[in-house]
Amino acid sequence: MDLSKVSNEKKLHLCKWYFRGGFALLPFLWAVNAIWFSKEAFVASPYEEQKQIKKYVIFSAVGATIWTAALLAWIITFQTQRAVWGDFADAISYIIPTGIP
Amino acid sequence: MTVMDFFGCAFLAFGPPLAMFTFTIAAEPIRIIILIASAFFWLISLLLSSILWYAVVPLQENLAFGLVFSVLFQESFRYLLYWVLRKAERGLEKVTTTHVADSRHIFAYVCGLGFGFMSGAFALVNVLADAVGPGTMGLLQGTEYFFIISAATTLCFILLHTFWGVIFFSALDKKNWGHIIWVVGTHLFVSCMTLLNRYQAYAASLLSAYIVLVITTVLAFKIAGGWIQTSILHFQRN
Amino acid sequence: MAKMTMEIWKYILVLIIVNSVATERIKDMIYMPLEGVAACFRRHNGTHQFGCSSSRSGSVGVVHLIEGDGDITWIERNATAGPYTVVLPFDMFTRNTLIRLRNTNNINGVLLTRNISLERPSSYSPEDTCPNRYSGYKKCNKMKPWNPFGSALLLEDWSFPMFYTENQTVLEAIKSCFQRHNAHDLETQYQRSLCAIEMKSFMYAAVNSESCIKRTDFNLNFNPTQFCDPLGDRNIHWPLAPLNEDSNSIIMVTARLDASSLFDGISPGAGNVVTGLVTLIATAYYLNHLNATVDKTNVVFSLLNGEAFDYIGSSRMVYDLKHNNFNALGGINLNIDHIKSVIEFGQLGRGKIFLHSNGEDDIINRLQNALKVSNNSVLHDSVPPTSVQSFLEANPNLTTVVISNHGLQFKNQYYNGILDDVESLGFNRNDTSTLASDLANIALQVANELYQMVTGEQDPQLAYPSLSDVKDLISEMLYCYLESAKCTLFRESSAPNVKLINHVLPLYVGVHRAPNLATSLTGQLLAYLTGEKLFEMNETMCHENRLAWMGGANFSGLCINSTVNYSAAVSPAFIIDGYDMKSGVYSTWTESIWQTLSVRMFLKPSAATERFSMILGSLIAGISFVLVWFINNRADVLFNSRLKATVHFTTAQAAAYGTFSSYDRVTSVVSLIKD
Repeated sequence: MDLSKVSNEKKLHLCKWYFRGGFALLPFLWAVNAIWFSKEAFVASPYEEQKQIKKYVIFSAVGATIWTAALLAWIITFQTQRAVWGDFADAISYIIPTGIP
Repeated sequence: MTVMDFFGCAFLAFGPPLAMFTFTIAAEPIRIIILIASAFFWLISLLLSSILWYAVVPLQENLAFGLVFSVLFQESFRYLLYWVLRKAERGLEKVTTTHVADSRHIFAYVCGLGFGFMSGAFALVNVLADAVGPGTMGLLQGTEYFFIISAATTLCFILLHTFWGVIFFSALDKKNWGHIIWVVGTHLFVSCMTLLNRYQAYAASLLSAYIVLVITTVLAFKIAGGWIQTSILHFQRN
Repeated sequence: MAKMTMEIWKYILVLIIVNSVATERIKDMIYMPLEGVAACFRRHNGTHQFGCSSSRSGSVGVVHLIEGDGDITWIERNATAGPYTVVLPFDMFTRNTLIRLRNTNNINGVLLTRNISLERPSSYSPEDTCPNRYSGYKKCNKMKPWNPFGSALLLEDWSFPMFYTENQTVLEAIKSCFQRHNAHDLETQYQRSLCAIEMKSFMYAAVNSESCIKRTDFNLNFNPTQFCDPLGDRNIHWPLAPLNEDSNSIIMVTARLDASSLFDGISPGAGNVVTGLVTLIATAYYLNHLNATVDKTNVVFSLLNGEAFDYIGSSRMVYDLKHNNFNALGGINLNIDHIKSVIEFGQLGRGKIFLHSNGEDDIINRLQNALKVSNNSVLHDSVPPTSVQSFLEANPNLTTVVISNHGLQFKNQYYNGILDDVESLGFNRNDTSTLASDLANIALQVANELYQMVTGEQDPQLAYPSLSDVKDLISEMLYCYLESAKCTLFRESSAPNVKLINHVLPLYVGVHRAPNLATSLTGQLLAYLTGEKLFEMNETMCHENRLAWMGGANFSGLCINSTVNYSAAVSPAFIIDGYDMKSGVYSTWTESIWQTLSVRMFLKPSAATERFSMILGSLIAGISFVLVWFINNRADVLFNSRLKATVHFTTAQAAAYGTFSSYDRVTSVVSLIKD
């Protein structure tokens, strides 16, 4: 969707709903929201809804960052500790690699 | 063949055509359409030559037979493509902003590249796919430079097809039979030279192919209206 | 498919160095598959992992022929083109060599080869010095272990794949490839393309039995992966007479049915298993002919499977007996208390016989007298690592006798090794060898003693089968087990028209999911030799009465009514709910799943060639990108296409081109000046 062809009201609506949608454990939605509306929020010439958009963009970005950090930490921990955890790691795995502990 | 080898050969064979595609073809949708159409024409020619090969059982053992007919099929389809494009010129005018009749060299070039892409893909992809693994040629027969030679030959054929396309189309426009004979003749010649690979005479086949490529390139350049002296002057000035 | 083939046809063939055969693929020109190789694979017990595995996509190593110590030193110190796959002759295949190679961390595979024209090593046993060290009733004496030749290669987790071949053409091919590409200028090896071998034997299981069984049972996935299977198969039983409903007094006669080795598909177990096995069958055969009237004492012949892996078969049998769950014999529940004594045929051979006895019973003396065993060859309180260990563990007061050819240490130098074959046993069917007659003598004497114990009478001297008949039978059986399974006896005891394989049966127990051919053939043979022949029945009648339809003397079909039966030889560890795999009570051996076992040889490109093609490719691609960009950018100068586009030509093409060209030149000059 080309944002330049969308009314400011509609932009705010979109941004708001992308932000809300992210709470359904969809951090990628937040990331998309933050990147997609960043120009609208910070670069575009000021308009009435911009302030709110800015808020949603910042919160989305923060949310996405926290998610990324958390996921990254978990992935690193899991990948390095999987063999050590033994049965527990197998129990929480969906695909168990063959041939290695 | 290893991963390094794989990418090396892939870059060698498909790097230049890819560059040509990126800078000259991808810019305009109509060119992409024509590229695909011409690639499709090449495929049909391959299909026909395959059917012929399949049908004529006694000559299956004899490579040269299939080879010659395949070349003739390809050239016929090049003519067919020319004919279809000329018929479609008016229609194409309507869907594109470019004036088709004025950019005929470009379309000839696109058609040639389409032929080249398809033939290159069929020539090399099977080789690459069949050769994924840790080994290289040379234990039982052949040389370890086999894959590089294959890739270089493929590149040569892709470029040759491109320039043959340019020469062939304009020759048909101008009824320049000499050029048509050059295209068909060199196609036959270069293809037949690859038969020498059976006797490991890679230098002969590769060298002759590239000599033909140079001549064909110069010819195509001239036909397309390139003027070497001015170009050189231009580059010197820059 | 046909279309694909056709499509592939043209260019491939044009471009490629073509063979006259149009269907040959490039793969076939690069790789040379090495046929007739046997792989080392991975096994687990409750705590560890043993054996070999390649990397997931196959382990590739540069071939290096090892002929002496110096070659190993070279790999340790001077090798430059690693990792290597070493080709070892059999006499170098020792624990010491393998450990040294492993410590180099530069080995991606070991190909063990045997030049059949050379003499075999004096001893090779990959088994532990104390077989089944951690299980059984009586621990092994570490100072004087049962198997002094044992190198325990089987009980090691090797970090590289291992294969074995005795295919001489393969050996020659490797040697010539090594000589041509690798052997010269060893210091500058890394600069050349080298002869290399890829070994594919990737094993799915890891860690230990507990983990891999859990992983196999773990069923969240839609497409569950198998990781490992418990070892196991079937035990074979034959009672002399049907058991009584209530009280039984049983003399068990047992022998083991399985051997093991480091390599898949080769476990001949000649001196280890076959001698005892055929003697047991001959004993059963002869005793059956004696027509004993069974009153109180009965005899049960049992062939136990998986004994090489912590007594799988016997421990399961004892477990079932203890739990009143053993009903393989006519549906009657037998109990461990019914068993009075156990006689086991251990490793047998020519000449001197030893009796390893436990407990005090008349049976020991009687056997000693019958078999003419001297007093110092009767070893009291001696329990070799055989099935009786399981029985004694359940009931230490049991009388057991193991008849064997060894004293406190094995005579067999190839225990559980691939060399424990017909050659090491020195058996020749045509030769009136003493082996068959010695075994026949044992069988006859034991059968006579059993007859006396069952009936209390002296044995009738039978006209048929005589000692020489039994000897012929044993000779024939030895041929079946040691030389080729495509033999008369197996044909007679299999259903007609069954195809038998023409090589030595591997006696490795295998996994319980796949029925073992050796077990089936042995069971059928025992049934054929001890069963009642019903000549009047045809095939349909035979099947209707649930009897066995076999080939018979002229392979045309014969109905056999037999009481031979099977029981599961799967370790109790896998049937007890929540069994602690680390407790060491029962056998916990499992075998890993694998997909392929293959070896191929090819030329591995040198790093220089690889770099060359990479650099050439990247360079050409890079230059062409710049060049095409440049030409495209200056197309107006080179071709004046921009002007062409702006000037609108509608005249006939043929004429137009002429003007066009000259016009182009003019304009390009104009644009030049403009620039």
